[in-house]
Amino acid sequence: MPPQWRLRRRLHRRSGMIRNGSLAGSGSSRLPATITANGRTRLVSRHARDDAHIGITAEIIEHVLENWEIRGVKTDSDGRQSLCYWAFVYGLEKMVRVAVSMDDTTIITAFRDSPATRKWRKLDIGYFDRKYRRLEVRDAS
Amino acid sequence: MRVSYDDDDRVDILHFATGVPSFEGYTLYDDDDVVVGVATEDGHDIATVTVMAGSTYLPLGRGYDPEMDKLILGRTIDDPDKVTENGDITVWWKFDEDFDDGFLNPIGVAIRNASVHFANIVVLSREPAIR
Repeated sequence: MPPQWRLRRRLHRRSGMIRNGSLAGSGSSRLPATITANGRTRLVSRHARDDAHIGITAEIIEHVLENWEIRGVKTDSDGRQSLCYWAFVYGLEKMVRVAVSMDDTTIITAFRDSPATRKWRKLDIGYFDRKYRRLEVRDAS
Repeated sequence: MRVSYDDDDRVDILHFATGVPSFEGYTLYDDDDVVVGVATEDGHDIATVTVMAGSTYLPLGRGYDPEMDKLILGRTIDDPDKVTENGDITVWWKFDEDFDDGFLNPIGVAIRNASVHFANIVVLSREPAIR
Protein backbone atom coordinates (compact mmCIF):
# COMPACT_ATOMS: atom_id res chain seq x y z
CA MET A 1 0.00 0.00 0.00
CA PRO A 2 1.47 3.40 -0.91
CA PRO A 3 2.54 5.45 2.13
CA GLN A 4 0.07 8.21 1.24
CA TRP A 5 -2.81 5.75 1.44
CA ARG A 6 -1.69 4.49 4.81
CA LEU A 7 -1.46 8.07 6.07
CA ARG A 8 -4.89 8.94 4.73
CA ARG A 9 -6.40 5.81 6.24
CA ARG A 10 -4.79 6.61 9.56
CA LEU A 11 -6.10 10.17 9.53
CA HIS A 12 -9.60 8.99 8.70
CA ARG A 13 -9.46 6.31 11.35
CA ARG A 14 -8.41 8.84 13.93
CA SER A 15 -10.95 11.45 12.98
CA GLY A 16 -13.65 9.74 15.01
CA MET A 17 -11.65 8.75 18.03
CA ILE A 18 -9.37 10.11 20.64
CA ARG A 19 -6.20 8.20 21.31
CA ASN A 20 -4.84 8.56 24.83
CA GLY A 21 -7.72 10.93 25.60
CA SER A 22 -7.91 14.60 24.79
CA LEU A 23 -4.75 16.29 25.95
CA ALA A 24 -5.87 19.84 25.36
CA GLY A 25 -6.46 21.85 28.47
CA SER A 26 -5.01 19.29 30.81
CA GLY A 27 -2.13 19.99 33.12
CA SER A 28 -0.37 23.21 33.96
CA SER A 29 0.63 25.75 31.32
CA ARG A 30 3.92 26.33 33.15
CA LEU A 31 6.34 23.67 32.01
CA PRO A 32 8.38 21.84 34.64
CA ALA A 33 12.18 21.78 34.70
CA THR A 34 12.22 18.18 33.46
CA ILE A 35 9.86 16.01 31.45
CA THR A 36 9.97 12.23 31.32
CA ALA A 37 8.81 10.38 28.22
CA ASN A 38 9.41 6.76 27.31
CA GLY A 39 11.33 6.40 30.56
CA ARG A 40 13.84 9.11 29.66
CA THR A 41 14.00 12.35 31.61
CA ARG A 42 15.06 15.44 29.68
CA LEU A 43 15.70 18.98 30.85
CA VAL A 44 13.35 21.68 29.62
CA SER A 45 15.19 24.74 28.35
CA ARG A 46 14.72 28.09 30.07
CA HIS A 47 13.34 29.39 26.80
CA ALA A 48 10.69 26.67 26.64
CA ARG A 49 9.69 27.27 30.25
CA ASP A 50 9.69 31.06 30.18
CA ASP A 51 8.08 31.46 26.77
CA ALA A 52 5.76 28.48 26.56
CA HIS A 53 3.00 28.66 23.98
CA ILE A 54 -0.59 28.67 25.24
CA GLY A 55 -1.85 25.19 25.98
CA ILE A 56 1.46 23.39 25.45
CA THR A 57 1.70 21.29 28.58
CA ALA A 58 4.10 18.68 29.87
CA GLU A 59 1.49 16.04 29.02
CA ILE A 60 1.38 17.19 25.42
CA ILE A 61 5.16 17.14 25.12
CA GLU A 62 5.24 13.63 26.57
CA HIS A 63 2.57 12.60 24.07
CA VAL A 64 4.58 13.98 21.14
CA LEU A 65 7.80 12.30 22.25
CA GLU A 66 6.07 8.98 22.83
CA ASN A 67 3.64 8.95 19.92
CA TRP A 68 5.46 10.95 17.25
CA GLU A 69 4.34 10.45 13.69
CA ILE A 70 7.24 12.20 11.97
CA ARG A 71 10.70 13.02 13.17
CA GLY A 72 13.76 14.40 11.45
CA VAL A 73 17.01 16.22 12.05
CA LYS A 74 17.03 19.98 11.63
CA THR A 75 20.28 21.83 11.00
CA ASP A 76 20.24 25.51 11.85
CA SER A 77 22.21 28.24 10.12
CA ASP A 78 25.04 27.84 12.60
CA GLY A 79 25.36 24.11 11.87
CA ARG A 80 23.76 23.04 15.15
CA GLN A 81 21.45 20.08 14.84
CA SER A 82 18.32 19.15 16.74
CA LEU A 83 15.85 16.30 16.48
CA CYS A 84 12.31 17.48 15.74
CA TYR A 85 9.28 15.34 16.60
CA TRP A 86 5.73 15.95 15.36
CA ALA A 87 2.51 14.36 16.54
CA PHE A 88 -1.11 15.28 16.04
CA VAL A 89 -2.75 16.36 19.29
CA TYR A 90 -6.47 15.91 19.66
CA GLY A 91 -8.24 18.84 21.23
CA LEU A 92 -5.63 21.16 19.76
CA GLU A 93 -6.32 19.71 16.29
CA LYS A 94 -2.77 20.56 15.32
CA MET A 95 0.56 18.94 14.82
CA VAL A 96 2.80 19.90 17.73
CA ARG A 97 6.53 20.09 17.14
CA VAL A 98 8.98 19.30 19.92
CA ALA A 99 12.66 19.97 19.28
CA VAL A 100 15.21 18.02 21.33
CA SER A 101 18.98 18.50 21.45
CA MET A 102 21.01 15.92 19.57
CA ASP A 103 22.52 14.62 22.81
CA ASP A 104 18.90 13.86 23.84
CA THR A 105 19.23 15.74 27.11
CA THR A 106 17.24 18.92 26.51
CA ILE A 107 13.82 19.86 25.19
CA ILE A 108 14.59 23.03 23.28
CA THR A 109 11.16 24.24 22.23
CA ALA A 110 7.59 23.07 21.62
CA PHE A 111 4.75 24.69 19.70
CA ARG A 112 1.72 24.11 17.51
CA ASP A 113 3.22 23.99 14.03
CA SER A 114 0.74 25.54 11.62
CA PRO A 115 2.55 24.90 8.29
CA ALA A 116 3.40 21.34 9.31
CA THR A 117 -0.22 20.68 10.25
CA ARG A 118 -1.38 21.86 6.86
CA LYS A 119 1.20 19.82 4.96
CA TRP A 120 0.44 16.75 7.04
CA ARG A 121 -3.29 17.06 6.35
CA LYS A 122 -2.51 17.33 2.64
CA LEU A 123 -0.22 14.29 2.91
CA ASP A 124 2.68 16.37 1.62
CA ILE A 125 5.51 14.42 3.23
CA GLY A 126 7.85 16.02 0.71
CA TYR A 127 7.59 19.22 2.75
CA PHE A 128 9.28 17.50 5.68
CA ASP A 129 11.69 15.59 3.46
CA ARG A 130 12.99 18.82 1.91
CA LYS A 131 13.63 20.49 5.25
CA TYR A 132 14.81 17.70 7.54
CA ARG A 133 17.39 14.97 7.29
CA ARG A 134 17.03 11.32 8.37
CA LEU A 135 13.26 11.70 8.13
CA GLU A 136 11.19 8.93 9.71
CA VAL A 137 7.45 8.53 9.26
CA ARG A 138 5.78 6.05 11.54
CA ASP A 139 3.31 3.61 10.10
CA ALA A 140 0.71 2.88 12.73
CA SER A 141 -1.40 0.64 10.49
CA MET B 1 8.92 44.29 23.99
CA ARG B 2 10.96 41.73 25.92
CA VAL B 3 13.97 40.21 24.16
CA SER B 4 15.61 37.19 25.71
CA TYR B 5 18.47 34.93 24.78
CA ASP B 6 18.90 31.37 26.04
CA ASP B 7 22.65 30.89 25.88
CA ASP B 8 22.68 27.17 26.64
CA ASP B 9 24.81 25.82 23.81
CA ARG B 10 22.17 23.18 23.04
CA VAL B 11 19.46 25.85 22.79
CA ASP B 12 20.93 29.14 21.44
CA ILE B 13 17.55 30.85 21.00
CA LEU B 14 16.83 34.55 20.63
CA HIS B 15 13.21 35.38 21.47
CA PHE B 16 11.12 38.51 20.94
CA ALA B 17 7.95 38.69 23.03
CA THR B 18 5.32 41.38 22.56
CA GLY B 19 3.48 40.51 25.76
CA VAL B 20 0.72 38.74 23.86
CA PRO B 21 0.81 34.97 24.49
CA SER B 22 1.61 32.85 21.46
CA PHE B 23 -0.96 30.32 20.32
CA GLU B 24 0.80 28.68 17.38
CA GLY B 25 3.90 29.06 15.25
CA TYR B 26 4.76 29.54 11.59
CA THR B 27 8.30 28.98 10.37
CA LEU B 28 9.43 31.49 7.76
CA TYR B 29 8.97 30.13 4.26
CA ASP B 30 12.68 30.27 3.41
CA ASP B 31 14.22 30.18 6.86
CA ASP B 32 13.29 27.44 9.30
CA ASP B 33 15.35 29.10 12.01
CA VAL B 34 12.69 31.75 12.52
CA VAL B 35 9.27 30.99 13.99
CA VAL B 36 6.56 33.65 14.07
CA GLY B 37 4.19 33.03 16.97
CA VAL B 38 0.65 34.27 16.45
CA ALA B 39 -2.02 34.96 19.04
CA THR B 40 -4.97 33.10 17.52
CA GLU B 41 -5.52 29.85 15.68
CA ASP B 42 -4.78 30.24 11.97
CA GLY B 43 -4.29 33.94 12.61
CA HIS B 44 -1.62 36.37 11.55
CA ASP B 45 -1.52 38.69 14.54
CA ILE B 46 2.04 38.69 15.84
CA ALA B 47 2.71 37.54 19.37
CA THR B 48 6.34 36.39 19.36
CA VAL B 49 9.34 35.81 17.11
CA THR B 50 11.71 32.97 17.99
CA VAL B 51 15.11 32.69 16.30
CA MET B 52 17.21 29.51 16.37
CA ALA B 53 20.98 29.98 16.05
CA GLY B 54 20.37 33.21 17.95
CA SER B 55 24.09 33.76 18.53
CA THR B 56 24.57 34.44 14.81
CA TYR B 57 22.58 37.67 15.34
CA LEU B 58 24.58 38.71 18.42
CA PRO B 59 25.91 41.34 18.53
CA LEU B 60 23.83 43.18 15.94
CA GLY B 61 25.27 42.60 12.47
CA ARG B 62 23.62 39.78 10.60
CA GLY B 63 20.46 41.15 8.95
CA TYR B 64 20.91 44.54 10.60
CA ASP B 65 20.43 47.84 8.79
CA PRO B 66 22.19 50.42 10.99
CA GLU B 67 20.80 53.40 9.07
CA MET B 68 17.24 52.29 9.71
CA ASP B 69 18.09 50.62 13.03
CA LYS B 70 16.14 47.65 11.74
CA LEU B 71 16.78 43.91 11.94
CA ILE B 72 15.51 41.84 9.02
CA LEU B 73 14.86 38.10 9.47
CA GLY B 74 14.13 36.12 6.32
CA ARG B 75 13.69 38.39 3.33
CA THR B 76 11.81 41.52 2.39
CA ILE B 77 9.30 41.43 -0.45
CA ASP B 78 7.71 44.18 -2.50
CA ASP B 79 4.35 42.54 -3.02
CA PRO B 80 3.18 40.88 0.19
CA ASP B 81 -0.37 39.55 0.26
CA LYS B 82 -0.67 40.59 3.88
CA VAL B 83 1.28 42.70 6.34
CA THR B 84 0.78 42.47 10.08
CA GLU B 85 2.35 44.57 12.81
CA ASN B 86 2.58 44.58 16.56
CA GLY B 87 4.64 47.34 18.10
CA ASP B 88 8.09 47.29 16.52
CA ILE B 89 7.57 43.97 14.73
CA THR B 90 6.31 43.72 11.14
CA VAL B 91 5.71 40.45 9.27
CA TRP B 92 5.18 40.07 5.51
CA TRP B 93 2.99 37.17 4.36
CA LYS B 94 2.46 35.51 0.97
CA PHE B 95 -0.11 32.99 -0.18
CA ASP B 96 1.31 29.49 -0.46
CA GLU B 97 1.29 28.50 -4.11
CA ASP B 98 1.56 24.74 -3.49
CA PHE B 99 -2.13 24.47 -2.65
CA ASP B 100 -4.81 27.01 -3.51
CA ASP B 101 -6.39 27.20 -0.08
CA GLY B 102 -5.56 30.72 1.02
CA PHE B 103 -2.83 29.68 3.44
CA LEU B 104 -0.37 32.47 4.15
CA ASN B 105 3.31 31.83 4.84
CA PRO B 106 5.45 34.38 6.62
CA ILE B 107 8.28 35.49 4.34
CA GLY B 108 10.14 38.05 6.39
CA VAL B 109 10.20 39.88 9.71
CA ALA B 110 11.39 43.41 10.45
CA ILE B 111 12.19 44.55 13.96
CA ARG B 112 12.44 48.32 14.33
CA ASN B 113 14.55 50.04 16.99
CA ALA B 114 16.67 46.92 17.07
CA SER B 115 19.58 48.53 18.90
CA VAL B 116 17.27 49.58 21.73
CA HIS B 117 15.79 46.12 22.07
CA PHE B 118 19.16 44.40 21.86
CA ALA B 119 20.56 46.68 24.56
CA ASN B 120 17.98 45.23 26.91
CA ILE B 121 18.37 41.55 26.11
CA VAL B 122 17.71 39.28 29.06
CA VAL B 123 20.12 36.35 29.13
CA LEU B 124 18.14 33.47 30.54
CA SER B 125 20.72 31.06 31.87
CA ARG B 126 23.42 33.28 33.29
CA GLU B 127 22.44 36.76 34.33
CA PRO B 128 19.17 38.62 34.75
CA ALA B 129 20.27 41.24 32.20
CA ILE B 130 23.25 42.55 30.28
CA ARG B 131 23.93 46.02 28.92
